[in-house]
Amino acid sequence: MRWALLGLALVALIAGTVGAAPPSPVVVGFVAPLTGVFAPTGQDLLNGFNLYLAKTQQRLANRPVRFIVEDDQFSPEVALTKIRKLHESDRVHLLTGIINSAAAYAMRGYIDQQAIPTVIAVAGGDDLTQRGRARFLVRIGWGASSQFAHPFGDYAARQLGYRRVATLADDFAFGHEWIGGFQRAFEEAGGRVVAKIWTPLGSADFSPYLARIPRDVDAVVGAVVGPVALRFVRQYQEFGLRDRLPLIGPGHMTDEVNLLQMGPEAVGLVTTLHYSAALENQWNRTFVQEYRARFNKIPNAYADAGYSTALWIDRALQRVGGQVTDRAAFIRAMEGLVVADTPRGPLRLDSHGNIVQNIYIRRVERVGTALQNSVIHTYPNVSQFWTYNAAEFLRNPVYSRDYPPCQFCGR
Amino acid sequence: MFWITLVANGVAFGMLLFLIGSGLSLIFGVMRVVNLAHGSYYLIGAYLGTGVAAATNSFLLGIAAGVVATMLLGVVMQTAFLERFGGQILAQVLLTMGFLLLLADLSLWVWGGTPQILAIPDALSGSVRAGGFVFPRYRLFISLLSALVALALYLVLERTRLGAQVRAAVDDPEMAQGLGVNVPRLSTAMFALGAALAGLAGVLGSPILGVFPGADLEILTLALAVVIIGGLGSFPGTLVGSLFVGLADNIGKALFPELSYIAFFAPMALILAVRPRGLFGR
Amino acid sequence: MLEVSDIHTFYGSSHVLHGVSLRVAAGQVITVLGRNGMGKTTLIRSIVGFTPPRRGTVSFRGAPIHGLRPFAIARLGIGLVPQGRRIFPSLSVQENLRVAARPGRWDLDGVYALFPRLHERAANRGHQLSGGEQQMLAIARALMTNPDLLLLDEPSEGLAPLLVAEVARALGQLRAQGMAILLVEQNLPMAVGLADHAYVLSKGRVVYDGSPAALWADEARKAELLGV
Ligand SMILES: Nc1ncnc2c1ncn2[C@@H]1O[C@H](COP(=O)(O)OP(=O)(O)O)[C@@H](O)[C@H]1O
Ligand SMILES: [Mg+2]
Repeated sequence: MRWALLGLALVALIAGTVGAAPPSPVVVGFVAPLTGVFAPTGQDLLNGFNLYLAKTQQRLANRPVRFIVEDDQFSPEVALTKIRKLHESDRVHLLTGIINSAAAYAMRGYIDQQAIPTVIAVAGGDDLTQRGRARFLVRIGWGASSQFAHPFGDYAARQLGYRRVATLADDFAFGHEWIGGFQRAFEEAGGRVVAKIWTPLGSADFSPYLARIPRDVDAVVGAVVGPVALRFVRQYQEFGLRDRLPLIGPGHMTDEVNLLQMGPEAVGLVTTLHYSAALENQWNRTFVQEYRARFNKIPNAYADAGYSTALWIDRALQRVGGQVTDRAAFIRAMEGLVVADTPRGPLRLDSHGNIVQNIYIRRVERVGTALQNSVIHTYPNVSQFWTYNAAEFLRNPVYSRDYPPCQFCGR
Repeated sequence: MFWITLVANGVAFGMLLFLIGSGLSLIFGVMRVVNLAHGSYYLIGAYLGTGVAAATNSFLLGIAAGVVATMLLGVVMQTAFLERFGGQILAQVLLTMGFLLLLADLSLWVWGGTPQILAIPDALSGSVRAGGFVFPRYRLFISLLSALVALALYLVLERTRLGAQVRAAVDDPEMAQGLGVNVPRLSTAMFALGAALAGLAGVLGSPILGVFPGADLEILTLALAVVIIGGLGSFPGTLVGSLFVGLADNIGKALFPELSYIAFFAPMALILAVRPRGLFGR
Repeated sequence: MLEVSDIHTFYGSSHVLHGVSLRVAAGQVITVLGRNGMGKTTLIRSIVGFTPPRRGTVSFRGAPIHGLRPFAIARLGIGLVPQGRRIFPSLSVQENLRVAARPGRWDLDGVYALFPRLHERAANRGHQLSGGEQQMLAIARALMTNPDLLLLDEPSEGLAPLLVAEVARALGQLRAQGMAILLVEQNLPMAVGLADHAYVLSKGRVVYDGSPAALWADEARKAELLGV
């Protein structure tokens, strides 16, 4: 009995010393593709995150951070394996990163079951925060795919005055959702989508698809993302389309990394996104300057996503005193958070855990020797439900290849 | 107009495929080995050509770098590795597959995952116009240059003693050796030529197709379709097969975008059913 | 000129030649006889390097050649007329001749004079020729390499008697010009008519080494060794 008491005392003593030691770290698991075709995107995201951590001396809510980076190779299976590992052996407090929407969809069940707070930094699949959102998932870094398509449809009809457009987009979820959102808002504002052309993801040569574009339209909406956008924009010009039909679309097309390799073919393109390196606000100016100093390149929306996600997590942690012991409380803390001082403008979450943010209309301009996405119009505080009632919006199916149906196609 | 553009495009792409397919076919002819690393020459040629052209601001230097480097790569592969397994076809094919994987990883390591695209030199940029028909000047250039290369290859193969020796070695390598033809050296030379042609195609193709991880396999698949349709080892077959695949690919994508692969794999299956050795195969 | 001594040749693990030795002197015509499958073609393949012997030596004009690659052996002055002719089918007659050409007394005119029929067929592709024409082309092609020694493997095989006579005539002419010849044959009369010396191979061993006329006269041995 005496021995037992002594043992107990020793345990208490040791526990006491540990408690008095520097605060235990917040463990953050980061999952993104760091090898393969999407490695550059993953790297930009990671750079942004690291820049924020460097500014806070590797602390979040004044606690040291243990930041564990895992490569998912853009594969949902690998992502799930890495997430299990982060949860089960690294005991992370929260997860972030995630570029591939398929990976995000695949992990929903697991993160809810295990109650792992997950802050999505890029994956845009609409339903991640719409029909069937995971309780423990919020989306900060980017937004839903159709979120920045709605205002653009509105802008194309009302400001640019287009009546008839043809769309040409990647034949996968992002293309379907973005074009769907565009079509709905554009047609509700009086426009007509008269042709929808789908190109296989990663197409090398767009010429056969360009040949199918009808010539009796006011503009072409191109939603080709990733580095192949370089080729798309160039070929659009080479086949003589640029002279006759304006090209507009999502801002991935003129991503800052792509702009470096583009020339006259890009000047004048009107695109939309929630970010531009040319945004005129003090936080963005500082961000661009610090990012350039550290990585020797201009940040793109992925770099901003990493930075803003880190900032968001830091603020949310501060609200719960740096403790993630009550995970539901941590999610609630994020849901109530409003942040004003980010490079891309003010941020808050909607009732479904998705970011509400400014959507910018940008035009490519040459400034000095470099091209930039100059902001020409701002739609403030845009939610994924645009101007619609959330409940009504969610009664529709998710945007797809065939929804909304193309009632004006061929007319 | 729609059709003229499609056909012109199909021909340009087909001629690019010809450069790749003819090398594959030549190498198969003299070595009886389907060189799976052939797509890698395209990849390496494209990366090197793009890098050198960007660094020196000279498209010609880019071409020279891509061609010379892939040629050397071909020579090393053939003399240091494949020749040691002379006659062991399976071992050789496996070896070329090893090179395919190795070079893909190596390229990813050296050049990263970001797709790169070579700027079209000023003299070749822009479009040519004829009435309402607008066509990129660079694609016209590719078609003409490849046609010239095809003509030169044809003349060398069909009209010179060296060409006759190559064809003799294709027909019966042992017998050609028995008559004093240095078949091993000829094989190396053809291997080098085939690799250089693929490297050339890589540099020429990269302004329109770009170069990215996985381009090696994409191109290899198309080149295999070309030689299967035309008949492995046949020069006219390769030309016809290239144009066929180039046109079918373009027209198929434009008319039946959902079925674009079927557009040339279906005719390919049909041709093989009727002529298992390809249109011009013996 | 050619000295084959005690060679052992294998196809994989199958041991085909068991210590074969023979010699061909300058200007001599030697014939090697034997039934099917006795190793005659293997002997030729061993000499030209297609199937190098694992043991034993082959020397040509005093220097060992059994380690050399086939094209190097051919270039030393050994002309091959293989069994089955092995004409290059996608080459024209003239191209078949030109790919083999090396400088010397034989050129296109020379071989066309020896086989006028080939001249008429100069532009035809190899696969369009008759068996007799192919045989003439195979001999002419070997001559184009300007060899000092000609190896012929059953040149009369599958030919009509008239064509056999034509081939024999050409070989006689070469012999008269002093060409050294190693003639593998199953056509005994033709071989005996041309050869200065005869060997008979049986199951990879030399079982007769002597005068062709003596063999021709010895009905019992002929029957025993050649089955005729
Ligand atoms: N490529 C080969 N692989 C294995 N065995 C062979 C091969 N060629 C010939 N042989 C065998 O070697 C023996 C001698 O054949 P060969 O030299 O062609 O005889 P010949 O020319 O006297 O008819 C035969 O038993 C034959 O079956
Ligand atoms: Mg034989």
